[in-house]
Formats: sequence, structure tokens, C-alpha cells
Amino acid sequence: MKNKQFFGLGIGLSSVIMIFVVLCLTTLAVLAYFCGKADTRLTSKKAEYSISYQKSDLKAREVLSEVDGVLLELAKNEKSLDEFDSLYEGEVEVLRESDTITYNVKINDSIDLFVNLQVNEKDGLVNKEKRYAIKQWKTVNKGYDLSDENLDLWDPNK
Amino acid sequence: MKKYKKSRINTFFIEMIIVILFFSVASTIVVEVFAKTNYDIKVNKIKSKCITKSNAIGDLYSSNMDVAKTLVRIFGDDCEIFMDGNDNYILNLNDNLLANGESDVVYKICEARKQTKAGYMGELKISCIYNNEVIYESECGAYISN
Repeated sequence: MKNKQFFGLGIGLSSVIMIFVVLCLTTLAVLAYFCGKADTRLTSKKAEYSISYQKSDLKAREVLSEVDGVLLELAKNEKSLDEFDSLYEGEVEVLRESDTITYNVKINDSIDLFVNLQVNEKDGLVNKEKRYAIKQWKTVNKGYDLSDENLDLWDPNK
Repeated sequence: MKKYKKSRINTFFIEMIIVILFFSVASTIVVEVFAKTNYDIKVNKIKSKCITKSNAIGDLYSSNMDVAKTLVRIFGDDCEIFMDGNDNYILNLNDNLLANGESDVVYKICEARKQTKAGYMGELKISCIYNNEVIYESECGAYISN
């Protein structure tokens, strides 16, 4: 009777407990690993976007300096803004409509940085002192291009 | 009866030894995974803060084109800004990116200025270093016309 009480734990019970504990630890470790991986992926995406935005912002400022250089030249030579297009030789396409200059700098495939400048004129000539004012400096969504994705959507006309 | 009892004790101890051995091997692997994940999450947290601070530096620098003023505005008056041999701005911060004398995270900021036709163009290269490893690097700029 005494012997029976001594071996109350039983052979195999420690193995069962160990298997249970190891299983619990493994499950938690796998969950933590995937959580960490998801966190890393999210942070990398955030960093990627941030770096792209900062690069585009820098590029937009370089274009702004080129545009300002042309405006200064126009102001110095007392030429009208109509001659802007012939003088500007930057690599980024710049659109001019009356006294407004706009351009886009690509951030990524779906987002652009849009810049809108208003040229300050005096008697039809570019102002020498304050040549321009930034009206808009914002990100614009180009929308997702779904042309490559063949989605089997419900057609209401069928 | 005695022989049977002895044999049961031996089996029990052999099982315990196997259990302990297997458990120690399994727990070593699992703890290693936990430690790596914990470190990754800590680095991600710091990286995320670095991104936010770097964006703030970029935004402020683009308006005033003054690195020292920008850093004081963002990290507070208590932060000590050092200059290294290559005229880079060095900031020592703790892992919450606060200036309290610790140097868990090092911010290295390199400024380059050039004159353009109608003004000045400034470029900043920001590096965030943790455990002697660059975890985040970005570039931003400013333009101020004459």
C-alpha cells in the first residue's frame, strides 16, 4: 500500500507534462516569431515609403531651384513669363498655364508629389524680389492600376 | 517484489533523464527564437521612432535650413550636439530617442550646401545607428531663394 502511494506520479506522466509544456512553448515561440516578422515587414514598408517620400521631396526642391533660376533670369532680363518654356531645361516635366507652374515627382507606382507654384508678376514681368509662392505641395494618389488583375467579378447585366 | 520495485524506480529515473534532456534541448531552441524576436521587435520600435524623428527633421529643415536649430526644436534644449572630424552632427540618445546622457542610439547628420542660380540648396543625410548598425538612413533637402 505504501509502495502504491510512492509511485502515485506514475511512469509516463512526466513525459506527458513535458510534451504539453514543450508544445505550449513552441506555439508561443511560433506566434512570437510571426508577430515579430509581421512587425518587421510593416516597419520596412514604413521606412521604404518614408525614404521614397524624402527622396521625391528632395527632387521636387531641386526642380524648384531650377524653376526659380529661370524665373530669376526672366526677371533680370525683363522678359515675360511666356519665354519660360524655352528657357527651362530640367529633366522633370513642368507645365505652365498663365502664371501657374505645376509639376509631379514620382514617389512610388501609385503616389506622386504634386507641386503648384504661382509666379508673382508685376506689369506683365516676373517680380524680382518674391518670384514665386508655393500654392500646393501635396501627395496625390494616382489610383491602383487593376488592368493586369483578372478579377472574376459579378456582372449585374448578366 | 523488491526486484519489481527497483526496476520501476530505474525506469522512472531513466524517463526523467530523457525528459530533462529533451526539455533542455527544446527550451534552448525556443528561448533562442524568443530572444531573437524580442531583439527584432526592439529594433523595429527604435526604427519606427527614427523614421518619425527623421521626417520631422526633414520637414523642419526644409523651412529653416538650419540643422542645429532643427535638432534643438525636435530633441529639446537638453540635447548635446557634437561635431565629428567630418563636420557631421552627432547626437547621443537613449532607446526612446530622448537625450538623457545615454547613447543607445546615435544620430549622425551630414549637411551639404550648394549655391544655385537663384538661391541655396541644402541636403541632409540622416543615419540612425543602433548597436553599431545603421538601422535607418534617409535624405532630405531644403531650398531657400535669394
